[in-house]
Amino acid sequence: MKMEGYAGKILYVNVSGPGGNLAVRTEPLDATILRRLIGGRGYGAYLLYQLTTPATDPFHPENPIIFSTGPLTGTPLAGSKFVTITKSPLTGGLFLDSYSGGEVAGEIKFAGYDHIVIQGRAPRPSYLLIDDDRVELRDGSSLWGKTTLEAEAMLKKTLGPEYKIIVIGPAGENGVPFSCICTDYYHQSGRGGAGAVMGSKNLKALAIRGTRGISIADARGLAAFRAYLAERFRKSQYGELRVKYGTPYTTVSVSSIGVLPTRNFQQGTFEGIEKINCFSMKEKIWVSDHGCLGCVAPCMNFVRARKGRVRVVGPEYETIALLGSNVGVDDIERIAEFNELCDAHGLDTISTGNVIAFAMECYERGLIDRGATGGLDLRFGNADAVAEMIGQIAMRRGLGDLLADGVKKAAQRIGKGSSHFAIHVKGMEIPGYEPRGAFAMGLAYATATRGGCHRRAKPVEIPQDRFRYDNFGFEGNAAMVKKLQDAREPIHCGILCDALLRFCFEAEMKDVAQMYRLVVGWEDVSVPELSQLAERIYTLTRCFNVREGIRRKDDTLPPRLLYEPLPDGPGKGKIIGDETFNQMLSEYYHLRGWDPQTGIPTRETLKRLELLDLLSDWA
Amino acid sequence: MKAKKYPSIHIDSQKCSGCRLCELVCSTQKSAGVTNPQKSRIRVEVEHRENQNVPQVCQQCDDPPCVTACPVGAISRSGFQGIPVIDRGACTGCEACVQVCPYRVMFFDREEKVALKCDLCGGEPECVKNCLQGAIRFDAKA
Repeated sequence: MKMEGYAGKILYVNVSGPGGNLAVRTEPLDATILRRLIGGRGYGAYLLYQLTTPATDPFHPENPIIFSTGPLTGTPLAGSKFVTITKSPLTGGLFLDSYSGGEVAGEIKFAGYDHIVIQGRAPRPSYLLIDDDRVELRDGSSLWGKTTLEAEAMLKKTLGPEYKIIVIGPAGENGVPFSCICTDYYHQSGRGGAGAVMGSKNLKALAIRGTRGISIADARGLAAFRAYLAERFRKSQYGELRVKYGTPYTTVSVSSIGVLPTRNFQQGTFEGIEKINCFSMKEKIWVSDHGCLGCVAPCMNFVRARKGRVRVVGPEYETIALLGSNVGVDDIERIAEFNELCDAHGLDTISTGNVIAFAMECYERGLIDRGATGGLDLRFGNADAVAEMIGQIAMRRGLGDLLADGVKKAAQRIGKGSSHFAIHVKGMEIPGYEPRGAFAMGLAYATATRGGCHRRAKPVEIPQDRFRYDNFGFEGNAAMVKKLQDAREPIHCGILCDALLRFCFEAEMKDVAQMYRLVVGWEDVSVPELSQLAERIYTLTRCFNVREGIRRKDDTLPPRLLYEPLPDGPGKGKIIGDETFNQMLSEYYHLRGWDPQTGIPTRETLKRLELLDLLSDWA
Repeated sequence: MKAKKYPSIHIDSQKCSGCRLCELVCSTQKSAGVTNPQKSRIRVEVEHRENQNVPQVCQQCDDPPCVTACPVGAISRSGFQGIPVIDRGACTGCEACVQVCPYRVMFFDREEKVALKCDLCGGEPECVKNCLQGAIRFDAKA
């Protein structure tokens, strides 16, 4: 079988091998299952399934942290990404896939690997050096305790600028279950706590350099296709706005439909939006555009704020929402500062903003007092208090220590009914879209495999000519959510940036199939094949979670979002409620071929999707 | 500024996004469909923290020191409109040209042990075609 585009190898590293030595081995990709899983999220999910059991604690040395790429990664096509796959400490061991752009993705391939699988626990703080075939565990004690920005700079200085760095911050060292992994200073595998898993392995960083090439099946054809792709990117309305404003443009659309999380999801509109929207960002703090490796539509904004003290790529939309409107802060410069603080400490901005907003609501409602906050006046809008809390969470100090375990556990500890407004699904804090103004978003959150996440399907502001759906009912919502989830799978196996889909491929796979033809050489790859692959991968990750004990009852929303009406915006007075929600969910299970009572994929479905032999222990 | 004798690629690093697509396409074009930035004739120095992305590529000097430095005469003015190009077969990999290049844009292929120099793709540079930021521009005038 053709397998151009692939490096062809998996690197397995155990940082606490026999006698405390590093154990390194490589294995070729399994060609017999390659076409069924491709790479990235698909192949990586299979590896995680095989390497763990429900008994594997996320912080146990045996829990692998897997850095996966795919055959399209690093090729001259569009922005490259890699995905970090592991059992999430935030959701109690559920499947986690967290994507990152930057330059590292390509470098993993150039070093000669499609996947890097790390297990074990190093005897002392360390970093892993990968230079083509040379793999060494090096002393990382001078890096330990340093911010991500400091540690990366130190490594680049020691090793040379051609090394690409994956690094964690103090939050990851301190086991914060929503700590992120940083790369290239400003890119993150943000969600779900992969940083803490790395920290639990005493692994501060990876430094990767490679000299290998990636062969392309049809380089000439790919050049023509790239030109076509770039043309469509740049000429589309989405593409133009994406390059001009980046993800912050979302502030405009979410405001217009009233789904901007505000003050811990108590409102869907924010009176200070004009001061923190994309126009304000562009006017007040923007300096220049940046792109990930190979990107034809660079969407990142390098900004300077607070008189040049803050230098960061961002804030992305989610950061503006969660560390802006959701904590009641209407100052784009302060949001940029929070962004840099979170990056430096190695915290996910979404979960951090969500959990601080939760604490603010607890404080305003009198559930925690000034004694608990260490004297901080933790009201919505107090930017100084937000900055203080970010540091406290990362260092597990004071109230920060309580919040550092995530909003679900914080609510359990505070009690007094606070779980009602702990805004998470399966333990993962919900990001920047209020589902009461777009009911399908609620279903997307409830059925995303990693928990409260918008990155598998984002059914807000979808053009009505593409789908028939109901923002305030159930009709069409399940079909739309499934289709949007499926649309991303072939890209997430690729792995390229899924913003591609946003511009021109929403729910289309024709062009993705063409990418695999040109890069890998699979002449006969078809849209139906990729559609089936998409269903297969989604159900595979579901099977992982089912093995962990996830059932229908877990696919739900926090009480506030399910039972309270939205007080403002176009969704004013709307309540999702059990009936509508359950209708959406039942229809969704039906479309997926999962049992409507339990949410477990049926045997027929596993057979149809050619999954049975991959799930070795499936009952 | 004095007009240059030879065509070359002009750089506007202010516009560069640091995506390095130029490196990917250059290497794919020049090494028979294998993408490998280590074999690219153009490189981008990316300093994320300093917000600097600087493309580096041969400036096609009027009086190129690489030509005179080559001990075996492997670099000759036989390329597009007389720009210097490397005869890969003749190159011994001694790196004398790499040492003398004032712009540090004579690169080296560590795998095949030959020097790498931009040949302007015969007047239609692939990197320029693919830079949607307009950070690199082809100046054809001789």
